[in-house]
Amino acid sequence: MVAGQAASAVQPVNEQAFTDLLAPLVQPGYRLACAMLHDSQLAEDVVQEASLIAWRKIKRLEDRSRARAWFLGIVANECRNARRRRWWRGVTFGVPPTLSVASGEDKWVSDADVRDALRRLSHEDQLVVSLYFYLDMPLDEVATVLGTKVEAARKRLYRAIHRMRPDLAVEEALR
Amino acid sequence: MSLRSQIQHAIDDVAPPAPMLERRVKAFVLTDERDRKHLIPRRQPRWVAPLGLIAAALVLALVAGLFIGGRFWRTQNAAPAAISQNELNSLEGRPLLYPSLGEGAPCPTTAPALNQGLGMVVGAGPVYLVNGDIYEQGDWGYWVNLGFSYYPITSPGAVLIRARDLKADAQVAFATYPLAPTAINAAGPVLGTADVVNHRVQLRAEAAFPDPWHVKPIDKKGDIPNLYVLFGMQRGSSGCVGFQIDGPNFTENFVINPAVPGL
Repeated sequence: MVAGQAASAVQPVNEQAFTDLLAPLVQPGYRLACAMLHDSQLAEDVVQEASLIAWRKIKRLEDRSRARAWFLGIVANECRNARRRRWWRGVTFGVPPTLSVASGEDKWVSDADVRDALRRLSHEDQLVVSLYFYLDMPLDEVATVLGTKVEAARKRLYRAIHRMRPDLAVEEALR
Repeated sequence: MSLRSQIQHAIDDVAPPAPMLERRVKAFVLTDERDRKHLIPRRQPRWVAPLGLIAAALVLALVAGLFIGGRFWRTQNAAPAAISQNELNSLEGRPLLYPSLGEGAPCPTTAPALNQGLGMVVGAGPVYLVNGDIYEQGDWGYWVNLGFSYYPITSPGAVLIRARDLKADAQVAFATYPLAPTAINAAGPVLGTADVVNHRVQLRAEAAFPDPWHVKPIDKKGDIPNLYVLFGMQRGSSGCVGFQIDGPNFTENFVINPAVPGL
């Protein structure tokens, strides 16, 4: 089969309709990818790949009202793949200029420290934190992205908060 | 500041506006497969093809190991890292290229450099020192948690990390990071033990880690551990430490000087 014909075969829906569906999701996908990867260029690549996957699987999307969660789930998977392909960690500012014994509070003095704390989380924990806190998504939609029930998403969020900030009460963190 | 604000502020730092992204995505998605090859992402993983071969080799090795005997398999599983002694010996055989310092010479510290993806790093790559959190001072000396990054990974093979105090005769040592999963294991001659971060750790002269294809995932999703290792400088150390990192087809050197007070 000619490649062009193959491309046609996976385009069963109207291109304009799909573009209309996809376009509003690109920026949320990009923001999620940035939150997961902390690398804007890589995030753009991930969103591009995720968009192609979404395009090819568009027939599986039965409920268009869940398109955002569906697409962000694809982005999240691509972020995990990207992280695995790239064995690196961007952490703080390299070797510290002076010696100091870090305390729990000191760990949170800069944005870089916040990102470092996020990176230390597992993929799922980082995802739930990013969706809830950065994308301001309600828990039921977070659960859809995670493919879990709302209560499970809530527990994961609480656990992730505790892992990030064991000194912080969950109620305080959720404000 | 609330946790939400902290997180949003921190991530906004690394999420610049991408106003052209929709157009790029649309062009990519709606392009024929044939033409899409010309619109590939800027950074393609270079080891996708070798991964398949290595995965197949690993499966074969696994089957062979099971066939030969359960004891052998259990022993292999108990090993902290999938690095063969021969491979380690080969890396250890490479000449050490630490800078030699004259009497009273300043420490030739390697200046951190800005890496587009990592921020400030030390080293010429592909293994970068990206983090140097000071952990504590103990009876034995001073301990730093070193975090490394390894990218791009162009060839399979283990990586060996060695270090030396460049201005004093004090020992430096590695210990496997005890607080979280790590792919780096202390290796080489045993130098003793010490208590660090409430753990008794074994001091070793070197540290090593396998390539990502030989790292045991830390969860069912296949995530692999990070590259952390404890690094100790014995009391009396100058704090001026040269590192040499040897990998499958590279050797790199850098010098750090964590400015330990009292030295």
